[in-house]
Amino acid sequence: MRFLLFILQRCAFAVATLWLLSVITFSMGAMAPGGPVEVMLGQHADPASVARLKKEFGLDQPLPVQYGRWISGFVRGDLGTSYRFREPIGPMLRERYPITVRLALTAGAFAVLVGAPLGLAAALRAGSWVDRLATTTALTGVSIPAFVLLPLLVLLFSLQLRWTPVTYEGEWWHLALPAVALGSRPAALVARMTRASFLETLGQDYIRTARAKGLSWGRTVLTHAAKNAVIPVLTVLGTSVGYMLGGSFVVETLFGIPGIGDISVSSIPARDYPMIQAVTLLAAAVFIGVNLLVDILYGFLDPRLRVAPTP
Amino acid sequence: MRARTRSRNGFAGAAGVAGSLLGAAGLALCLAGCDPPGKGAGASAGATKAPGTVLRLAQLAEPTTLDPAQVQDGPTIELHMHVFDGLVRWTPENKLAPALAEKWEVGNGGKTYTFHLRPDVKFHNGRTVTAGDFVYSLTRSLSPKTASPVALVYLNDIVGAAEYRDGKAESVKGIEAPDERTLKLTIDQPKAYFLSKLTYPTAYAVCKEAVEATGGAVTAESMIGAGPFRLTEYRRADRLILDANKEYYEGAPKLERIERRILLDGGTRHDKFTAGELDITDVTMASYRADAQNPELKPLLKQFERPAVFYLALNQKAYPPFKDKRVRQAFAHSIDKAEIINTVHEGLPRRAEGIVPYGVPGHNAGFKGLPFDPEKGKKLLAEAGFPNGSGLPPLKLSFRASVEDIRSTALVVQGQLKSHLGVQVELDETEWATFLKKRNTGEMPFYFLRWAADYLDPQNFLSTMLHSKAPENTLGYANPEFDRLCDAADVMQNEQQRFASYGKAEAIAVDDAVWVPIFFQKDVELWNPRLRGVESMLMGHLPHKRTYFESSP
Repeated sequence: MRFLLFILQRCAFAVATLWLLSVITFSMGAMAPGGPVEVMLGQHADPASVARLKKEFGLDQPLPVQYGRWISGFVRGDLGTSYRFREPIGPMLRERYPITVRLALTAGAFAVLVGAPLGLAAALRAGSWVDRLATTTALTGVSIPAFVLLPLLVLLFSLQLRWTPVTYEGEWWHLALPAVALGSRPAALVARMTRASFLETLGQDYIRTARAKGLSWGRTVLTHAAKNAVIPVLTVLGTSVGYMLGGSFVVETLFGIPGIGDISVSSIPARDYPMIQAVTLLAAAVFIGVNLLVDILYGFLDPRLRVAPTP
Repeated sequence: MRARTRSRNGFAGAAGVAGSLLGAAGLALCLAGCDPPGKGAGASAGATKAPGTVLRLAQLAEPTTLDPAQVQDGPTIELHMHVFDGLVRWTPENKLAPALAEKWEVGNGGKTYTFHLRPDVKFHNGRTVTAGDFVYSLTRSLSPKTASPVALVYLNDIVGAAEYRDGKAESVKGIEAPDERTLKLTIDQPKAYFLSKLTYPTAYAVCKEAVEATGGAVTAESMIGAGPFRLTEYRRADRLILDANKEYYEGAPKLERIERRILLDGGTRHDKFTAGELDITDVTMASYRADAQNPELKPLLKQFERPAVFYLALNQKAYPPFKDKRVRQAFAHSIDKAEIINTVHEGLPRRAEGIVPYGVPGHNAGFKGLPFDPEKGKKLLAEAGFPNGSGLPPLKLSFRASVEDIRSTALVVQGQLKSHLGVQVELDETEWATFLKKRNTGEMPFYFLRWAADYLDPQNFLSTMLHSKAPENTLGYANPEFDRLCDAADVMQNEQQRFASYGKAEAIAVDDAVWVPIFFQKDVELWNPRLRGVESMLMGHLPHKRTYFESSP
């Protein structure tokens, strides 16, 4: 019951956050110099044409009226029509979002499946060459941005070795390079957090007691330790994946991945306000959702963090 | 406190290795999730076409619209011109030639154009194109429902166009179809440049029943024209697939298919070309420097003149010293155009003496503008009361942000003004939409910008941009003699006389130094060496009607 309340509370909070975000984004758009009409008309913006287009787009209405019109459509599921493409935004996003999600989740999987073992190995062999190697690798991963790493990977695997095409050509394994490029920084963060967290947890008294009582490594001790140590790692992972689910402009653009990365970013210079609103709220909603999931996951791992009372 | 967690049984090492293997396996599993819909079909569709019959191009950005009444940007226009066709078209010699109109007469003192359509042209859905289709398409371009930002630029000369757009009339008076094969257009004044405006997509024939079936908007389903290719598939953000229209009235294209891959990044496009995955790609200045040294790529480079002029604008409305012609001329004499062309643009673009670009009918070949003469510049500035620039209020040079070559040019200009004239200008890099707004309100005193032809006529460069009553003229420039010459030339019917009149006007504007034209645009591309038959004209490539691949490498 308390769990349900918890969910409801979080949802209400999410809605309030999203609404506030929409007001802020709308206001910032209204304050930006130059609007969609000027961009559409380019150098042909004589006052008569500007006035005419503004009227045809409803941009001559006072701001609260424009916002009201937008939000009343939005809550009914109508994400509006893009000024730039003159098409409904809902279907546009629906077509493009799945591959952004696939890329983000793949990068996240890479991050955890490479970063966690690295961090664990470093923690268990703290101070040894394993540790140093893992830590250096992590440092490199966190320092090289995706827009540097991806072209390097393409240079090696696509241009020199000819193993992969230069851009995404539809096959599932084409996402490997961009996922690695996108996921290398989260992987490094996961590795560092795993190492730090395990070091701290394994240093706890109850672990020493368990070992002293004769419990072996492996199943028993590490499993118990992991449940606690993993929590901060989950936080890092959740934030990283949540962020990537908002669309990765650089990786998608460089590798020709048909996701939402391009239209989200390029709608700003184009002053495509409905699109800017829609993608901002989408990214925010997804981010909030991922964090909620992580919070629920905490409850399963550590009873002390549970939101429902333990029996 | 260090945890006493060292394991001596190699568990940690094993865990690390196992983890990496697991990671790779997991990654593979993740990637092998269900494929996005439609992708599989496309991959196999490409495989069924014989090699050497598919032209692989890059689309520089997502097509902004599939509606020819709305389209404005070059990359999208290149898409439209393959799917649709209009009354007239450009030839590789930059002349107008019949397209769907096999002949036409100009009457009523140059105000009436009567087009006779070919009888045998069909839309992609099999229906014959009639004059009624052009009435529908032109009217639709001007419709307030379509709300096209661009239609009035190209069609406003037609009688009744503005009234219809503003909702004051039910139809456009000047568009008539006396019979199925005759289209009559009446314009407000005998403007000889009207015909070239009809080459623009706003005058393409769209298929009425298809467009109405999709609610009046042109979607991928209703993008049906009479052009040499038909749109088979549009995978958003990914690619467009065009298949040859075998019934095309000029004969089926030699190519089976054109694939336009949406690739936003210039470096990516370049890499794809060198990997053999693209047949034509654009080349930026940065790439050009490397490519020109590369023995494999150098022979594949091709250059194209474009009808666009890059210039500095001197706005006397926003900067009082510019009201004095001597100050403007002083600035003009201090610009070393050769240095800009050679250092920033590798000597590629053509120097601009006048305003009307090379290749545009009416371009003045022998004309010499204001020369690079720092001594004269300094003298003029001193005469105007600002010796060595002293007394001049602060001045900003504005230019579009995020384009490397533009920024470099602005830097060089800043340096030249300082060393040749003693004037220190501040650089003002401005985001595009903001730049546009400031230009429209006439608040930028001094800026670097490009003007590209809407249509190939000096009218578009002179009357449109610098006439005192032209809305695009936000520089406060008003020269009665210039206006008189342009007004006269706008309605002359004899081409030689027209161009002579425009030429005189151009000389006045250049001498007035309201614009300091620096260079005309030149594009560079890399081409697959096996490409043949690609036709090009000043405004861009022509539709790939006769393009093919040489089979022997």
